[in-house]
Amino acid sequence: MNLMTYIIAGMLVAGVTPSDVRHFTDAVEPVLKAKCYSCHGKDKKSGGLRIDSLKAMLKGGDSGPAIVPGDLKKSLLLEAISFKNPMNQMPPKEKLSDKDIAAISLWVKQGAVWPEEVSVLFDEDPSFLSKLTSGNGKSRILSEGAPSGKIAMGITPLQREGPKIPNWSFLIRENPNEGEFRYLRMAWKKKGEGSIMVELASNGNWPDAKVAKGRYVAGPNTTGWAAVSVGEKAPLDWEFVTMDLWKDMGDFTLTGIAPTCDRGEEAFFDSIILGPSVASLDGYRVEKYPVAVVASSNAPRKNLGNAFTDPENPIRKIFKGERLDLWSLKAPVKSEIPKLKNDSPSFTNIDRFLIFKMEEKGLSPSPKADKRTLIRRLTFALTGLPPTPEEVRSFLADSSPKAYENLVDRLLASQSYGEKWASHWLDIVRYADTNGYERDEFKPLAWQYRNSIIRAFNSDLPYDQFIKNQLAGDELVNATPKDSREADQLLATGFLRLGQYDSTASIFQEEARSRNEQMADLVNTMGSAFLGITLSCCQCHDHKYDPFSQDDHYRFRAFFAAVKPNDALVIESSKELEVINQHNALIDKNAEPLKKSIAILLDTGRQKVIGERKAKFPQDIQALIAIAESARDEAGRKKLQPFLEKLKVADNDAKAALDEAGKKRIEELQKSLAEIEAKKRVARKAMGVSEGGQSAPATHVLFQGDHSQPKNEVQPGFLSVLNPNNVDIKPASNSTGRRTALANWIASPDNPFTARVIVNRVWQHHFGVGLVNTPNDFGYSGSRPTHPELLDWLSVEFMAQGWSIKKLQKIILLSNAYQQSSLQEARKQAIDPDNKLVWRQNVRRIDAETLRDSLLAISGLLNPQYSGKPVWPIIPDELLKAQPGILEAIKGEDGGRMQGWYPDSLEQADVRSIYLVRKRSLPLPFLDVFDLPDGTISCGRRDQTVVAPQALMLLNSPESIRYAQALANRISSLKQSPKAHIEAAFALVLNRAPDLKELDLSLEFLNRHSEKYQSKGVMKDVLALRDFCRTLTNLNEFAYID
Amino acid sequence: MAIEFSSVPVTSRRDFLSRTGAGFGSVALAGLMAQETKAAIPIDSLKPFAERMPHFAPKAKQVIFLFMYGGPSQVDLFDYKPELIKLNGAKVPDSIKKQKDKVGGVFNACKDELMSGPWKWAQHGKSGLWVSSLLPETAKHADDLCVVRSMFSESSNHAPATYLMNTGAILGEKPSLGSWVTYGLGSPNQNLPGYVLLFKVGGLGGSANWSNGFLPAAFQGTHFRHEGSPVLNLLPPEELQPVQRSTLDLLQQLNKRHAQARPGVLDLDGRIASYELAYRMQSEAMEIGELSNETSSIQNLYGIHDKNKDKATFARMCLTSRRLVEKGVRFVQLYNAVDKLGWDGHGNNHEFHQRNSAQTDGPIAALLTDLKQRGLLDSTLVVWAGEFGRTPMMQGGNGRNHNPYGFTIWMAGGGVKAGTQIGATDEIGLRAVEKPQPVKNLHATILTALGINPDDLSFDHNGRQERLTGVAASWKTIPGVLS
Repeated sequence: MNLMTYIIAGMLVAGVTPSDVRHFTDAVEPVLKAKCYSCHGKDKKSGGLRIDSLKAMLKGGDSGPAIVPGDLKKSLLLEAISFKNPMNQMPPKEKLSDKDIAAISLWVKQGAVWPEEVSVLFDEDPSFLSKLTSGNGKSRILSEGAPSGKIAMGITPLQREGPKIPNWSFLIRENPNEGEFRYLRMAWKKKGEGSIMVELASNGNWPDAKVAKGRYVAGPNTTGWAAVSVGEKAPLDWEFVTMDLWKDMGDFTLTGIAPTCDRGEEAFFDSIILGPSVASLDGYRVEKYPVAVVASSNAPRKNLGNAFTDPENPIRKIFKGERLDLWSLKAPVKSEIPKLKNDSPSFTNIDRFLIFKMEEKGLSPSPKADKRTLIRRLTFALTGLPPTPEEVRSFLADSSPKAYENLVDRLLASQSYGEKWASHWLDIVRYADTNGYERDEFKPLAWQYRNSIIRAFNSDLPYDQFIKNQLAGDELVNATPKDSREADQLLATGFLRLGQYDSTASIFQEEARSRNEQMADLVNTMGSAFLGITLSCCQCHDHKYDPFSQDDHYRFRAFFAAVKPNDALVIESSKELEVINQHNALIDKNAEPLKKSIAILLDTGRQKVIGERKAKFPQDIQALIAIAESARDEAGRKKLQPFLEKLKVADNDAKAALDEAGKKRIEELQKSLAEIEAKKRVARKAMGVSEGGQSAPATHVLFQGDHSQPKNEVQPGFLSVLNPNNVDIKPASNSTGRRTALANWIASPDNPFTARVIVNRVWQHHFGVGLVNTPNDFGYSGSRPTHPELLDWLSVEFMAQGWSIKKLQKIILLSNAYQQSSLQEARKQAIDPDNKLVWRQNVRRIDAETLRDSLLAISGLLNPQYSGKPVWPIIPDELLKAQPGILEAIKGEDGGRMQGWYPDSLEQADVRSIYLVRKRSLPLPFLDVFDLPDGTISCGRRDQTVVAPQALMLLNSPESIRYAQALANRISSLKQSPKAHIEAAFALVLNRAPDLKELDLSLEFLNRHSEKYQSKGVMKDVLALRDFCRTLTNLNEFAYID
Repeated sequence: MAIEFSSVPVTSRRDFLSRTGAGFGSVALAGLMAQETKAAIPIDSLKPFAERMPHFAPKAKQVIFLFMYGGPSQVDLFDYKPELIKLNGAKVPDSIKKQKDKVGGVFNACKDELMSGPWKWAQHGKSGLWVSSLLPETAKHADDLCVVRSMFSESSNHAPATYLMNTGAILGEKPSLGSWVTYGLGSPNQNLPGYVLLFKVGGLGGSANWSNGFLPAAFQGTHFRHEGSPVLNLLPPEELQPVQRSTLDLLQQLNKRHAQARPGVLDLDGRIASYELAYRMQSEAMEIGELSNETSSIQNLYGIHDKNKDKATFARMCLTSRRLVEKGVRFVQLYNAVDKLGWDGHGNNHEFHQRNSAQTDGPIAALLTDLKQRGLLDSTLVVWAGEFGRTPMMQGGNGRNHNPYGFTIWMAGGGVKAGTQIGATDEIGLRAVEKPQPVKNLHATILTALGINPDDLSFDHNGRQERLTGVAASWKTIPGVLS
């Protein structure tokens, strides 16, 4: 222990010396606790006696007080422990040691000082740092040199603070009752020059800058904040100070604390305790209040270089200099276009990269696909819908050299383009409309995020800006949005809210676990989505394959530490908000006379009721009411209070007291008022995030990812292999600015991952396979790029063209490679069976949503305009009741949490699948069976399974049969002859005419089925046609794109 | 059958891979091609349930998992605690109260008052297994059971704990046990799904409990109904049933012409095959649901006509599960709940346990009897478990709260040392203290019984070698369970 002085800022309450107190806590209390409390404590009081407090001892048991302070002879306790009286011997089993008996005797003789309980604000609990939620300084836990216990805390200028710490409501009083306090003691010291200070918050507020009370300072105060001085110099070594808070500040409620220092280097604090008396502080022993033992120091990092250049880089140390040749760590550079043996002006640069590799293997690209295949391939890829027969006809008829390019442009500009491409993004960010877990509540605002993504794709929002919006849109918009573009920036932060959330965790005190999972999920999704790296590995340990450390996971996590959910982000522009306010003000103004009339009428009724009630009060009460309030004495006031409560008349009671005419009048007025007020507009709100301050709770590395085992604290930082230093972050006006810093790093041309990852995704959706086959993993366990030079060339080109996804797509779509046939050739297949060199296109099944949307489109059922809130299709009751959370809602037992299923009508649900509700615990059966991702983790590439339940769904489900029926109705209303029906069906479903054999088979089928339906009369042909349409919609040719 | 099928003979895996094209056959294949270094299991996307060799000789070939939903109370069913009976009404002993637990607050929302159940306890069979009077029929199988009384979970909350029991992780995003087993072993019957669920009300947290997670989607659990057509959309509406075959015939004729023009695209053949499998499934699955084909003594043994409707429902599921196992389905899981609550007796534990015991006791005993008399019990592993147990402390009037720290499960059948009891909770039945077992050890035990080395059942996903049982060698089979 170091130098120890007692400085009392207020008046010292004398009478008891610290050594008296120490004697009790060191020598007496442990004996009582070990030997006596089990029979004379809170669980059991033998002989009616408790001796676990001074009060209880003085009160005594059946035989009288246990002690009389200062009088050994009259103290029964001493008689008992001395074993002098055979009828009174305690503890009964074994006499105390002579030393213990002597200690207890001395204690009684000296007056039986028993310090009251103290409250420990900080001593051995490292999580205290997370309670200091704001302030510009940095905080850390020191595990060495603490004057009390094992740890202390360090604060760098300016301060760390928490004005309203949860569960802090300490009453400071002159004569504290139980649970109240008066004195504060702590240990502090300061490194370097400057002063050290502590600020105390009262009722959630910091003291006025000009008022000294509430601040204590040691050393020259240059902060500009008035403070009570408790020392001319800041102590260079640990010093205990005790403040009489009541003396200095009077009655108040302590709600928060700010350890502070004004200049120079770090300040240190330890053992901050509150006590009702100085003696209670003296009696404090750290062992009495044990908390988790933690903490290694978090020494500030030196400025280090990346792992390639700096041997001190931690990644270099962890992995012994290995793992640094990972291809994706080097930023893409513009590759040179390869020189081909046989170049052609018709080749695009993409073709040159591809053909160059084919030449090495003796391969060549496939011929161009026919135009019908091309328009089908392109329309499905860009819109998720089939081309209409008219679109096919006009494209086939267009012989201009720009026909194909014009088609690309038309499709890229269509509304359905965004609906298709947003769905790819929603997979990546594991979008859903519900929380998941037991309750799986509906999130009524999530869909606005979905629509903002559709708008982003349709408006070709540059991808770098897109990233910034997703991660930090709220930090980029100043208060309310200026326009719809800024509103979309706010909406984009919905990205941070899409993970699963267990709302029941709090019931079982599992919030910490749940939050840890949410944060890990957010970091992992961020890594997968934007960087194509797998950060889930390093939640528990350093990465198994890639050069990423466990710290890296938590450095990324720290960027999100201050994020708070916000379900009420105003997304109206400030201009619109003003319009709304004016509109509403006008309504208020119009409503004013009505309100007044209503009030007058109600008052009439109210006076009547009051009169009646008063009349029933006892005489003395009536008399009390009659005298002026100031003239009533305290007792009178107290007595009167309940009666005055009775004179508060509810509106309904007042109304009921009116005569019939009055009642009628008031009802008319209320109706008019309701009508007027219904016209008020409500500003649209969005689900997103905000931080609401410039500070963030500390982020610790967690031992094996376990939230209950924090290790060292980390600051926000990027991948250490590239930059191991803490990030210099500029706070935004009302947030830490951390996410902006992260977004800027990700959305930078220097980031080696970002452009490549998105370019690869776009390529994958156009070819079925990415240049890197593992779109969410660019690490060692993922695939290497088949064409690294092409990937780099495209990535650099993409950034050069302003991160435009549409421009990138046009480059890809205009290549010969994209337009080539998918037919396999035996010779080439033998050389490159997996088509890694892209010598042909790939045959692909359309995905779940495309399948359903196409069925709706060809059958004429699709409502292509709808773009609003989630639509709930009708699904079998049996499925709903089999899901416990929904069952609870069906029974009306979900407490309004929206755990249920809220079906719209059959026709209302005929919208594009992206607008259908995504409920995590009950995926839509039709989409689920066709490999819709489950919305729990980022999905960069969907399953493409072929299983029997898909056949059952497409053949037998009521919806499939409805589509077939609608298609048949549509065709039969247009055409007359069976042949015309067949041709129309082929044109709609397959975008081509049937060949002769197909026509024969089809005609025969229609005839046969028509005969089977003889009994149905005029309906027989349309029923046969329905069966035929049912066949066509199940065809491989419908479900697979060449 | 009017149509013959172009089957695609697969002579070797390499051959198969070489003909699959650029990996859009299935994600399993694509994943394998990207990460061939790891010993993941090759899956033929056309026959995902093709039988695969176990790692060593299995003791059990099939599994029936009886999920006791909501948290059955160990101290009212199998975990006899004389001390708890003695301390009925007393406070929780300090020695127990002061222990720190990793998972949320077990004493939260409970009274500081111990409560023993109103049921009688007796020892049964040669093994002397303690069973309460709630389960008189199960008690008759005492010598068939291996009871583990020292399980613990990692969450005291339904959904995470249910996910843990089903998927090995408290987040609902990993593949379920049945998915892992069918991914590893396939299934003996190719005309039925290898992984079937039976429930009226499924587990809390919904479909994530039988999800394939990152495994190929074929391994997702298929829900069989216990009444009517066993699978949703198994049959078309009645008016279309007479034209089903002729519709399929035209479909397949056109499909074959289409495929012939695109040689080498295996998916097209696969899809043709899937329609034919669907057609075969229609008859085979329909047959499964025909419980009336069972003798009346079997029907009555299970109690499918019991006037307790909940019991009759569960009896139908138990009988259906035997029929599925008999037909060669690899993994069957049943949930007993008929509402959102199951065994979850917070306010009224007595009534909940009376009700759930009455519902499940007879049918489960019948299942064991029936499997045994057909010689199926030797090759079928039966597992009885909930997501956690209940507190010996009282909650509400006579309720019990969730208890993840100590609960009981039992196993019977293939590979299980019958008539044994393993592990123990503390004197009041709260925490597992003797041979405490995490859920992953139960999973490891089930896999081992099936001839699978838990560390070798893996799948590379997102840079991680994923396993049901987590990090290699981080599990142990529950000692003493396997014969």
